Amino acid sequence: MLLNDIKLFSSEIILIICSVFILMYGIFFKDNSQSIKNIFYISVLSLILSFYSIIYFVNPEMSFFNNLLINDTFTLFFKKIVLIGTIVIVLISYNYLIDLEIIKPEFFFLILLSTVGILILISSRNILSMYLGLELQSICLYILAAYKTNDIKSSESGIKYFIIGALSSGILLYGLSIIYGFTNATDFYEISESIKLSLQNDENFLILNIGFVLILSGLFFKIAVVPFHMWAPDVYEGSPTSITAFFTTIPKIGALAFLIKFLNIPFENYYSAWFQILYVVSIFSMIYGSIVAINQSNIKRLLAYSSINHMGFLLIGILVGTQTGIKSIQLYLVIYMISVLGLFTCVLSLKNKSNELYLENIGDFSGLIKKNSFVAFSFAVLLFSIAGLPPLAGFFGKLYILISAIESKLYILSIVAILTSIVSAFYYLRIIKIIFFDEPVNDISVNTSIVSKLIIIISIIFSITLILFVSDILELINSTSILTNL
Amino acid sequence: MEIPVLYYLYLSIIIFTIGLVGIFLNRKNLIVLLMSIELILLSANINFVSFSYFYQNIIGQIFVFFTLSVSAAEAAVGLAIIVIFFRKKDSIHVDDINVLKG
Repeated sequence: MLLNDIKLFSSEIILIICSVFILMYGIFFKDNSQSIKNIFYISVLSLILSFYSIIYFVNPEMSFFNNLLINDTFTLFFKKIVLIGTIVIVLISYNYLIDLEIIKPEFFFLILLSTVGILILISSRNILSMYLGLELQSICLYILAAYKTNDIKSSESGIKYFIIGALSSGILLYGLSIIYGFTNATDFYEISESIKLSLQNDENFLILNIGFVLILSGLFFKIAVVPFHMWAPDVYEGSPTSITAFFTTIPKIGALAFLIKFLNIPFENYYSAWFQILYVVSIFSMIYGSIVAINQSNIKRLLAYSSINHMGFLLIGILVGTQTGIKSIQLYLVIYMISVLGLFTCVLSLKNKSNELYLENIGDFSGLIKKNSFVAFSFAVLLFSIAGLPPLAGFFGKLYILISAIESKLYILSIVAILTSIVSAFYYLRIIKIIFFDEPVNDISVNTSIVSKLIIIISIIFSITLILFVSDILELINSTSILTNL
Repeated sequence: MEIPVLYYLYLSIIIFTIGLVGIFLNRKNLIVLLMSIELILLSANINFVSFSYFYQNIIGQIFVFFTLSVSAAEAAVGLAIIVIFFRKKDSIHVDDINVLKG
């Protein structure tokens, strides 16, 4: 029994053992470049191993550890995506952190441990395991935000992230306690049964509503949608760029996957209540994210606002309330993650030649085409893809979400989604205009390592050729599903 | 004499509100923010324990053990981040967190 549980939990166990090993290794060996290199290899290897263990050891539809966690096919899909994304983050961070001279063993330890938290969060089926996974993830992220200790911006973003994050998990915990009080259960499926029973008996739902709203606002803080978005731009700007790349993709994917699961398992009979909340949040975050991003000059800030817009877009897929909606979210998240990671890899390859600082201001990108056509071209493809121009990948993500929205007669939402996509296309195209047509203001030095070149090439090939194999990916996604009842 | 479970809930709601108000109205010290966050977590703990007693169901009390250790970890990390900030800025005044804006 225990052996079987360990087998099902193997991907997390590998990561935990390797992260603790890295911490010990960092303590007992001096901080020279060779030992850092070893640690880097160990962490990449452990992520790959854990990816393989998901494929080979973990069989889906099984609960383990006394029904604290469950692996359904939906969960496994997101686990694989999270692990792939984390591998990319570790690869692109290595050179960047060496260059800033802030590379320490703790970085890899924290990245691996927060990945474990995300994996636990995604596969949870009990409010206890869900809370612990969420906290493990966010406590590691607070430290990562303040990682560049000699920079006031980084420590300030750490403080902001810590206060907002701790407040949101406190609110979430209070909501969980109310749900526990209302249903006398901690298991998602038991909560679902209990709510179904009370719906049949027409009980008073005030208490449950309060708890539900508190939990939702805690989760909205984590995925940064309006009105719980105000921390995101500041934190993204302040933290080191490779860590910003982590923030914009992996924890958001985890929290969104959990949100889908949470709304579809314990609260599946409560659709009418969460429909209205998500409707308002989705519309406002699409509008806010697209309009405020227009006059941003910092690329990290701009991507923060654009991620608010994307999250609003993704909530439409949840709002639809059908299986097609969830499938379209899965497709969109894969495309979003690959494009954003490619984009951050491009940003990380640009430096100012005179003062050796990494470029963050969009105006400084001017005339990049004359300097390095490869990076300029990849910027163009990835930005076109995120903006959603037809032959590229981002278009299909938006298309399938809009199809499912129109099938469910959510016309106003679809119109708002299309209009805000047009507005957001403006600021993506502005970056392309600056890169291709403006006169250079300062000397840019471009240095792409082989690994980051490879990542950029893969993300470009994915963006361009997705049109050819989009049906295959959809088939893969269609084979996954949430286990809504046991 | 037994105290009804509702009274515990009133207590937890009051503590929760004090915590929230402390975060939103506090314009002075970062340590006060940390204390307010701890208050919010504690109010949730009171809820868990009182519900657990009410239902005679042990899970709520187990939950509190985990929450306590999590909140300790959170406070440790938060204090460490505040120390880093203090080294750069020589202040932990809330109004001094003003480098990032826009």
